[in-house]
Amino acid sequence: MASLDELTKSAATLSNLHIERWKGNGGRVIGSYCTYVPVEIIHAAGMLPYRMRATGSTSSDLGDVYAYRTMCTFCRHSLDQAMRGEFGFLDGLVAFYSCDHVRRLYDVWKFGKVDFPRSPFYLHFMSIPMKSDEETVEWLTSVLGRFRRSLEDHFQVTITDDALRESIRVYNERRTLLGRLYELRKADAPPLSGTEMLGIMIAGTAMPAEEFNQKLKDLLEELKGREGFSGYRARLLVGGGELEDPDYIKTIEDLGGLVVTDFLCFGVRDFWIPVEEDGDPLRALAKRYLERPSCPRMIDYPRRQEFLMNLVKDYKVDGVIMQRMKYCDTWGGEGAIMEWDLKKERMATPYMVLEREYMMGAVGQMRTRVQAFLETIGR
Amino acid sequence: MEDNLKIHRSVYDLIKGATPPGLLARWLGGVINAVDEGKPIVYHPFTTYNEIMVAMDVVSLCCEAWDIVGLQVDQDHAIRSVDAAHEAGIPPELCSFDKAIIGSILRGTIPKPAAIVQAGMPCQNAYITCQAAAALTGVPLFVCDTPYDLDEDGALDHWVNQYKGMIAFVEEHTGKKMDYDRLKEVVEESNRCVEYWLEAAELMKLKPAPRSGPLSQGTLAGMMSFGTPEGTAGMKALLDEIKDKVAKGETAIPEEKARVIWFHFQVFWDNPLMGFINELGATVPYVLFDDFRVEPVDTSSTERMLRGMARRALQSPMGKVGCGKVEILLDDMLYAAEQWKGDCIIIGANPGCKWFTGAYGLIRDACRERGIPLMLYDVDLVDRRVTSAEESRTRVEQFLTTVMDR
Amino acid sequence: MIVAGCDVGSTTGKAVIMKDGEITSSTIISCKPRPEETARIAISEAMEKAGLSSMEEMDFIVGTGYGRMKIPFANENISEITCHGVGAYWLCPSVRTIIDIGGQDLKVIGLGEDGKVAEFVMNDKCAAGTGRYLENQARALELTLHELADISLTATKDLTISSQCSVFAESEVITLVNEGEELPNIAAAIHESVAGRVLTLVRRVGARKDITFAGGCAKNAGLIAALEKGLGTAS
Repeated sequence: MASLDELTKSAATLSNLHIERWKGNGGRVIGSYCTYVPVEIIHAAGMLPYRMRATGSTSSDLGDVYAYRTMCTFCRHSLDQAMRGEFGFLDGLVAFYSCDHVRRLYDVWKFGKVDFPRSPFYLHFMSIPMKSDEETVEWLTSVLGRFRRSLEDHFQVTITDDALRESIRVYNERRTLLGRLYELRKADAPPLSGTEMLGIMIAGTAMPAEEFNQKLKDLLEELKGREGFSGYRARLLVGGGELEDPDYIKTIEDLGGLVVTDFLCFGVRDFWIPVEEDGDPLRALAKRYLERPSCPRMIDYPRRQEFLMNLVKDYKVDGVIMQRMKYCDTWGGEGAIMEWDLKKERMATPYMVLEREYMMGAVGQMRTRVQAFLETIGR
Repeated sequence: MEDNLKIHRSVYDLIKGATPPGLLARWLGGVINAVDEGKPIVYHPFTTYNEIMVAMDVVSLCCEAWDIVGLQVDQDHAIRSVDAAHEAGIPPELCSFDKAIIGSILRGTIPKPAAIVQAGMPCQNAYITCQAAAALTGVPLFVCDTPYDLDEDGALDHWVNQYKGMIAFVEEHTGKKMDYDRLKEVVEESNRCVEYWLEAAELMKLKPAPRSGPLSQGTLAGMMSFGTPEGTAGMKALLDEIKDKVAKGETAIPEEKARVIWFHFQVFWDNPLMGFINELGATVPYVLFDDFRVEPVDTSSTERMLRGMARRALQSPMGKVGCGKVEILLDDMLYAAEQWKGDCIIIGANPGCKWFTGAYGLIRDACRERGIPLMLYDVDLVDRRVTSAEESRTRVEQFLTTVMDR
Repeated sequence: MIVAGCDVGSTTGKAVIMKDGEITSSTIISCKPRPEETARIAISEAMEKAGLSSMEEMDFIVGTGYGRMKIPFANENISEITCHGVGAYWLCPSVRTIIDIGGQDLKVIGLGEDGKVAEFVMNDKCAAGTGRYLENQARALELTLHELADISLTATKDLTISSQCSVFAESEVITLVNEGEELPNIAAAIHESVAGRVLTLVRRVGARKDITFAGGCAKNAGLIAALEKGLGTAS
C-alpha cells in the first residue's frame, strides 16, 4: 500500500515533502481556513492551495495572548503556530466569515501579530454568502472576480478563463476519484478505514492537485487486492467541524466502530458535487460552492439534514457521532437541532454529540462514551 | 399559552393605562392582542429595524426585547429559559441571549410566530437561533444575506435586494401587502426618532455629563417599534429632559471624577450597576448601543428609501460592529473614547459573545497604544449566575479606583 | 456458574462475585497507582471472601470503569454506562433513569422499556457536579464529606451559590462564611448547586421514573435530599 502510506505520511505534519519540493521550485502557497474558498482560482494562478491546520501543535500559550479562552482550541493552536512562524511556506492567506472564531483569527493575522514568512504577505477576505439561491450565486460570482483580480494584482500574474477551466477539470477529476474511494466504503467489508480516509483527505489539501490525483489513481489500483475490514461492531458516520487528527478516528475504530462515511470538511463537504465545466467558470464555481453539502455556517439546516440522512441510508450507517470542538458555536447549535429531529424519530439512527478539544486529552472519557454508544447500538 | 405569558401580561396591565401610551405599552399590547386574536406575528432580530413590519401592519416581535422585558420583572425569567436550552442540548458556551430565546420557545413563554425574518446578522449565534427557532416552531424562515463589508463593490445593491426579498416573504406569509406610501410615513417618523437620538447622544458628550447610563429609550424604539409616534415621543421626551438639565446646568453627579465608555450593552439584569458607578464618582456618558451614528433615510423615492433603510440596518452598532471586520469595532471604540471624552473603557461582555471576545487581544493593543485604561471582564447580560452583582461591583470598583488615582 | 465483575474507577476499585445469580462476595478498595494492581487486589479480596482460590474457578469476568482496558484477567470489558444500566435494571426492573455521580464523572443514563441503555449524557471535563467538587468544598469548610452531608440536612435558610465554575464557587462559599452565614445553610446550598448541575443532565435524558442514584455520591444524604427536592420526589 505504497500510495496509502505516502498519503497518510504527508498528512501527519504541517508541511511535507510535496510542499518542500513545490517551494524548492519557486512555487507559491496560499493558505485558507475553510473549504468554502474555491481552490480552483488559486490553482489557476499557478499556486498551491493549502488548507490551514494546526497539526503538531502542543500548546496554545503564545496564541492565547490574542485568542481569548472562549475561542475554539483549533483557532488558538493555529494562531499559536502562526505566531511561532510555523507557516514559513505560506505566501498568503485568504479567509472569509467561516465563523466568529476564524474571522477574528484572520483579523489577528491582518494586524500583523503573527510571524509573517515574507513581505509583502498576501491577505484577502471574501464576503461569501450564508445562503444559496440565484441572487447569492450572482453576488458570489462578483466576489470571486475580485478575489481573482486581487491575486493577479498582488503577484503580478494573469488568471485566464482557460486556466480556470483547466483547474476546474483537475479538481473535478479529484472529486470523481474521491467519489470512487467513498463508493468502495459502501461495501460490507470496506477496503479503507475511516482513519486512513481522513489521512488521505488531509494529504489532498497539502500537495499539488495533479500529484494527488495520480496518488488516488494508484491507490484505487492497490485497493483492488486488499482484504476489506470486517468483524466491526457498527458502521459509523462521523460528522462535525474541523477534524484533522486521524488518531481521533482511530480511537473510535479501535473500539470496534468502523467509520464508513463522514460529514466533515476534511471529507464529504470538501469534494461532493462537481463544478459545471461549461459557461462562465467563475459563475460555475460560485454555483458549486453554494450548492455543495453545507456546513452550519450556511443557513439551510433542512438541506443539511436531508443530505446527512441520505448518507446514513447509502452507507448503511448504524450510528452517527457528531464531534464538536468545545466553544464551537455553529456545531453546538447544529448538534442540538439534529438531536431534536432525532427525538422526533424522523431519523431513527442512534446519534451522539461528542465534545472534544483540539488536542486529544481526555481519551479515557472519550473511550467510555464511544464504547457505551457502540453498546447502545447493540450489535 | 395563556399562563405562559403571564409575566408579560402583568407588565402590560401595569403600563397600559398611561396617557399617552408609551412605546412599551404599544408594542407589548400589540403582541398580546395578536396572540389573543390569532393574528400573525413575525419574529425579527434587533438589527432588523422593523419599519417594514410597522408599515405593513404586521405584529413584529423582537425576541431579545421580549426576554429583556421578562427580566425586568423576574430575574429568573431568562435563567429558566437558558436552563431549558441547556436541557435541550444547546451548549452552555453559546450566547445567553440566544439560549434564552431558544429556551423561551421551548417553554412556550414567547408567542409562536407565523414566520421568522433575519437581517443584518450580528453574529453566528444569531444564525443558530433563527434556524433553531424555525426547527422548533416549524414556521418559514427568511434570512437576508449580509455582506461582510458594505464598502465592497456591489455590496449595498446585494443587500438591498435581500431587503426586497424580505418584504416579499413577509407579504407571502402574513397575507398583508406593503403600502409604500405608508412606509414613507413610517420612515419619516423613524428619521425623526433618530434625529432626537443623535441630538441626545451629542449632549452626552458634554463634560461633566448631564446624564449617565444608557439612552435605553432609543434602544427600545429600535427593538420594538421604530417609526411609531410613541417611539419618537419617548425619544423626544428623553432629549427634552437632557436639554432641560443642560439649560439648568444640572449634571448627572455632583463631581465627575471619571467618564466611563461602556463599550458593550448594559447588563440587563443589573440596572443598579450604572448607579453604583455614579456612587464611585464616575459617569457613563456612552453605552455601545446608543451610538447610532446613521444618516437620515432619503424618502424621496421608494428605491432610495429601501437603500437608506438597508444601509441604516448595517450602520447600527451591533449591525456594523458585529457583522463586519474588526477595524470597525476598534475605530468605533476609539472614536467613542475621544468624542465622549472617556477616561477609560469597560467592556463587560457575554462570554458567549465570540465576535467580541475574539477581538480582545486587538482591543487591548489599541487601548495600550493610546494610553486608555481598559477593563475586559466576563459578565453575562441576561444570566446573573455567571458573574454575580457583587463580583461585578468588585471588578468595576477596583478598576475605577486605579483610573481615578491616575 | 460463577461470574465476576471488576470495576476500576477514578477513586476506588470494586469487585463482585456471583454464583448462580446470587452475590456471594464484594469488595471495594482505594485505587492503587496502576489499574492492573487495583484490579488484582480487588478481585483477590473478593475471591478470598467467596472462598475461591483460583481465577479458573470463575466462568466469566467482566471489567469496567476507567481502567477497564487494563484488567488483565477480564474476558470482556464493557463500559461503566452499560454496566450501570444492566445492573440497575437487574436490581429493580422499574428503573428508567440512572444518576451516577462518581469522583470525577457525572453520568445520567436513560433506559428503554427493555432495560437497554437508550441514551446517556456525561459532564464535560469540568469538575462541577462531581464528588471531587463536594470534596473541595468540604475541605474549604474544614469538614469531612460526611459532616458536610449531615449538617446540610439541618439547614434553615435558603442560600444560593450562583457560580457554575467550581473554582469560583469555592470563593463564593468562603464569602458566605465571612458574611457569617450558618454552616448548615451553606452546606445545603453546596449540595443544591451540585443537584442543579445534575438535574440539567437528568432533564436532557428525560427524567422518566423510576429514578435511581448510583456511584459514590449516592451515599451522600445531603445530595439525595437536594436531588429529591429538585425532582419533586421528596417524601
